[in-house]
Amino acid sequence: MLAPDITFRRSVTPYDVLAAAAYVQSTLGGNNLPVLQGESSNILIFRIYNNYAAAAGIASAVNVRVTTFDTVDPGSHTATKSVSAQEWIRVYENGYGENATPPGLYSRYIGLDTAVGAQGNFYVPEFGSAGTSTPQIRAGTDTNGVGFIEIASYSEIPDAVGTASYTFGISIEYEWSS
Amino acid sequence: MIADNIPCTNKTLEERGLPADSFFEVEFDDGSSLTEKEINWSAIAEEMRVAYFGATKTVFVCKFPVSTLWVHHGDLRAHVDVPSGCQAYQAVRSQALILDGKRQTKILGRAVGIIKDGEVIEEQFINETEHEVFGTRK
Repeated sequence: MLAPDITFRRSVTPYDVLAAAAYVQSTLGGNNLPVLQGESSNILIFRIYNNYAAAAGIASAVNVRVTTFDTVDPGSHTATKSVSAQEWIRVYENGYGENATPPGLYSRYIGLDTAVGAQGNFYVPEFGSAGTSTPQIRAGTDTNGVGFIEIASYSEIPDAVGTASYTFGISIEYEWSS
Repeated sequence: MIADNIPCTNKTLEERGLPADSFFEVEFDDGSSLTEKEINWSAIAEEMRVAYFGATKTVFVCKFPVSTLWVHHGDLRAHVDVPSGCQAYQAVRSQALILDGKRQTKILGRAVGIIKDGEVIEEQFINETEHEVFGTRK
């Protein structure tokens, strides 16, 4: 089997690839405004697909877990400002599905709203793409269709953190075998 | 011999998304052996949901009796000696992320472990980021 082909995509057609997790808010005064200290962002909904292109021989991603990215990259705000350790990002499952190419229809499921970041603070999706209680995203190379899970995420900024601008990364860890 | 009856793959490690120095090596109970350079793990394994130190996880366990299973990753390697009546599994652990307009997928390491009566009793993990082998045993 080939390595899983994981992509982060928008949750609406045509399911464009997501380049970044951009947290903004809509409030009096307009949309896409910055999220200030003491405020929460709008909900950002995206999908994590495995093998969106429906290629042959792709492995399923199993033991999936979601977190916000924390890196030693000196250019990363998440490292230098310990943002992820402060658990400013919250995620929960919003649905799952497979059996369509491109997969569009999904089963709605609202998972447990979980603060992620810091060591060991992952979110494990309650349901995998097949609708079973195993956190996996199947690749659609057997009899199943291309799989995805849909994630809802928002930032929740504490009071008194100042006015700096922060960058967040979203990552998933998963296991697979050839 | 068990190894003689396993279908070989026609793809290289790199074509399967693995570095050239990251592979498993399995020795069966009958003394025959194979590596990931020759076969896919899926050719000898089946999916199983198992207990995992207070939680559960999905593993792909070898369908054949194994005496020793190694995983190599870079200059590190880990192995398990599989007692009679137990099964062995191994997996690649990867990470996909989006950060500031960039997307990246990378391999974090490899895990190898032993299953007894539907429960993981030992797991070794080669952590590429920390360049160490971390083990857990029940």
